[in-house]
Amino acid sequence: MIIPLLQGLRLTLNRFFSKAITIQYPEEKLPPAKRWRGIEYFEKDERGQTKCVACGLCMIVCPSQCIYVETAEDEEGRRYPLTYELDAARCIYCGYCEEACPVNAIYMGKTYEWVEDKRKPLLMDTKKLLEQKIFNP
Amino acid sequence: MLRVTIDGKEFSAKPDQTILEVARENDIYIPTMCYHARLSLLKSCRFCLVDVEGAEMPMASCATPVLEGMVVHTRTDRVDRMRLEALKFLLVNHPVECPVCDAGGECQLQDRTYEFGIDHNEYPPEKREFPRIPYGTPLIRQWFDRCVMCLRCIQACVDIIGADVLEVAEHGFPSYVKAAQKENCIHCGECLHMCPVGALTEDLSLIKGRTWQLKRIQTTCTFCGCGCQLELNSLVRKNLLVKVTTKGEAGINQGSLCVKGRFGYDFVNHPDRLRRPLMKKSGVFVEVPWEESLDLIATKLQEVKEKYGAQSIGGISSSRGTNEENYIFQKWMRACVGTNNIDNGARLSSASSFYGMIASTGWPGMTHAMEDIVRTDLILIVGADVYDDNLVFSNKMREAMRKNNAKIILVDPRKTQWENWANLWLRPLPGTDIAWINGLVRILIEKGTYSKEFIGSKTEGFETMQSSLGRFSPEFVKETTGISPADLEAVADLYMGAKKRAIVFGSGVTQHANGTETVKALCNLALLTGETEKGGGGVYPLLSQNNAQGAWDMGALSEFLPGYDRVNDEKACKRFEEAWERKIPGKPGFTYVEMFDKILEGKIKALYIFGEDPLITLPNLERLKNGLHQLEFLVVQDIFMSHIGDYAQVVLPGVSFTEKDGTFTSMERRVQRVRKVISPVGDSRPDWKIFCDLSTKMGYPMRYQNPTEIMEEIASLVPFYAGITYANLEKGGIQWPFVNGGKRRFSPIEYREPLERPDEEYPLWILPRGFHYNYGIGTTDKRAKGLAKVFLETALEMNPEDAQKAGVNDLDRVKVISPRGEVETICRTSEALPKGMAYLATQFFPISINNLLISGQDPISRSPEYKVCIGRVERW
Repeated sequence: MIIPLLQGLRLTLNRFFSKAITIQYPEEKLPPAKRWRGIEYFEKDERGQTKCVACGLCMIVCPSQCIYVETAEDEEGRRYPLTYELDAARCIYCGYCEEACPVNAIYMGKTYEWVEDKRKPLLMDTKKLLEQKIFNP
Repeated sequence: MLRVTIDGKEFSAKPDQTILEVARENDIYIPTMCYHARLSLLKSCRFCLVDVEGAEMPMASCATPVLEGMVVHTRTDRVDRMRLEALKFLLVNHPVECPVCDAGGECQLQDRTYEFGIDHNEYPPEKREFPRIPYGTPLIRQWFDRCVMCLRCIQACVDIIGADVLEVAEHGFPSYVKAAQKENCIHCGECLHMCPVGALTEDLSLIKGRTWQLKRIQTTCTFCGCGCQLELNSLVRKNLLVKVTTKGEAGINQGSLCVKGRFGYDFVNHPDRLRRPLMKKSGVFVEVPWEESLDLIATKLQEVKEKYGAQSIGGISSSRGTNEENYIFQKWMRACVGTNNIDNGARLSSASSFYGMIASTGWPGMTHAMEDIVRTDLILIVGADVYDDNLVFSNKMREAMRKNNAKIILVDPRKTQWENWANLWLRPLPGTDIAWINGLVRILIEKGTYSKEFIGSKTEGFETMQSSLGRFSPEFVKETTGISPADLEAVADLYMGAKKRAIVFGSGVTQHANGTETVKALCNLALLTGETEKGGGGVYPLLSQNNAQGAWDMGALSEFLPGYDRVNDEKACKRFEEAWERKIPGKPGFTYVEMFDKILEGKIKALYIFGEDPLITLPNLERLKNGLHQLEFLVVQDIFMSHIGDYAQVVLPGVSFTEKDGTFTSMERRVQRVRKVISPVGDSRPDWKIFCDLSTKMGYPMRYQNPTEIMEEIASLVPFYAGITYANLEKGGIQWPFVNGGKRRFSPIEYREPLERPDEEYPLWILPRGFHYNYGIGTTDKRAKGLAKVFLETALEMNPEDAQKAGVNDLDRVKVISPRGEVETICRTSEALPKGMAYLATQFFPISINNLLISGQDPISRSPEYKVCIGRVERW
């Protein structure tokens, strides 16, 4: 009866004097895994604009239908998204859009820290998606 | 009937069918790529291969006729493998750019690739260089590397349209489809429709959309009387029309359209659209709320009615507007305002046709359906530029040529496209058609080409008509029209040799002071051999406006109630008075042109104009413009600000055909649905709603919830619309029938000289000509970006000798002067014109030929004389 008790207490004492494994978020942060899926961002092309050709594949593959794309052509005949809306609140971060994109325009980023008290700011448009690139070098 | 076994099941087949046709009839799937039911066989893709027992090699099912006892297997190893290889070869050089290709999602190649299970390219692609040549039309872009060389586009251009623009350039591997005869292209987009992949894409709208993003609604085209079915694609969030597509099975057009239908849609979203009601305050237009504008109209109309009487108010309805709108408009004018001064735009182009057909056949409209012309073997085209105005009907006539070897007789002073395919071409002087028609009838009777049995039993007036033909000898015909006796004889011979003869005529016949008489003369010709009856070839009056037939059916006219009862017919009046619970006036009112004459006389004080612009359409405009100030109150309801709108006190924003529900009746009497695709732009309201609200304000409440209810009322009052409901119309258009037919009538037709003939001072005939990119008066298609791209500038076309006599050269600026006025334009010389006649593009603003026209009218139909005008040309 006493021996198991002392064995248990030895474990406790061990743990008492060893280093804590708690990560003190937000002062300490664990870097996400290599393929971890966070908030999306747009890649920039050499003009500094989005590579997106508004093909609509991400829109149709998205399981939660959080992407809305409108296509337009500029004077040179190049396609670009007239409107690109991604609702980060509806998004389930599955990464299907990144997989579907044929021109590698959209990627799942590594950020996850985004708190708002309204839904509207969570609706990302082309501008916001391009801005997200800063957090994903 | 033959017995054929496909995949183990037995089917019956007709002897001239191919394996593919039998399979399709019985829902057996055989993949195809180049095959299209409307085109001649191309046999180029090798997808439709099937194994036939007894044949060593697989057979192309699209090209193999069935034989008795044939056994076909559509899925054997060999055939599956061959199809796969055929597809793989196509994919070798096909760029994998589906995400950026417009056809993605609707591409035959994509579909077959997915179906056959190909996921990568086995054979290494070779780089091909293509020349950068522009396509036949700026409205379509050609992507050479996407082309699978199915050659459907070339075949469609040759078979269906007859324009023959495209051909295959080079041989073998470097071959490509080239727009070799670009000048023939009429931008109809048939090639675009036929292309199974994205090698031809429309290049009009900057905003594109995938099939899963766009709302696609089928509706009826608003541009001409053919009544083609098309699908409008819209981006819902932006309330924008993005493109027009067509389904192969829907409607008379079976997928074809013309340039107006396919590329003319973008006027709907033009920034010039009226968005809010406008009211003139201190001479300037100010936006006002709906209540205020409607209140003012109601009050002012009441005032004018009290001061001058109900007969001082007039209303002009639109033959572009829906049936429901026309019905409500005339109901409001008759029951609420209390006048028969109503008319619609079709009066100016087709009134003679309606009157003539009623007089001769008892019914106002085409005797047959448009499809029936395919079964004829002789087509007489009089005064109609079918290729330009009603392209889809022209396609049908070409089908008659292909299937029945139909002969074509063209009668038109001007050389039109159909001259290329006509066996005979007569060029009478303008306004003299009665002479040659009577001459032809005389010859045919002499030669015994008439059906005695039919004439005896189902017609009357033959003897009177026959005895009136005495003076129309071939010499008289030569004297009046310029047609030689040999030519007339040739026409008679060709006519006699045919079994089913069709007579097609258009505004070249109707827009004359003797229009009604000419139509009756043509009907005399048709009645000789019973062409107006069920087994006959048919009489086809072409209507250039989409709802001319409907506007007339709905009684938006001064002398007719809905259903063609006369307003002074007491019994008919009583019937409507009971239904509408109001007394209606019993005397016919003023027609379109008369109303404006009466304004100048001070008899009409208030006018309500819906969807028309008299300052473009009426002849003798200078006189009119100077007299409009005599009107005390003018309301204009339209989608764009028009010329007449500037003179109005109130301008109301209506909606285009894409923003409202309703029906159009096409020129073959087919009632078809118009469906709402986008929401009304700005604060505009559907026109039928505006009329209802106005009527309610004026003390005659109209509480229709939707156009369905309006159509129910129409069906109850107009006997030949009975049974037409929106539910029935979902299955397709309904051609209203001829019920209670009486006897047909032969009419003796007098020949009258045209109102004026060229003389010393004015040596030329100046004839209006409409380009087919304009639809009516240019209000809509001047603002359609695509149509504006292919617009030809207004020009006066002259014979080079006449030009020389006038001292002008090709491309000079000239002044065209007639006894009424003058216009300035550019001169183009062309051999296509006969000496002594010049053609001027009609109905365009800013220059308006109507300054030149004479104010004569057809005394019966009250349709103006548009096509006889004399003038001279001077350097400017």
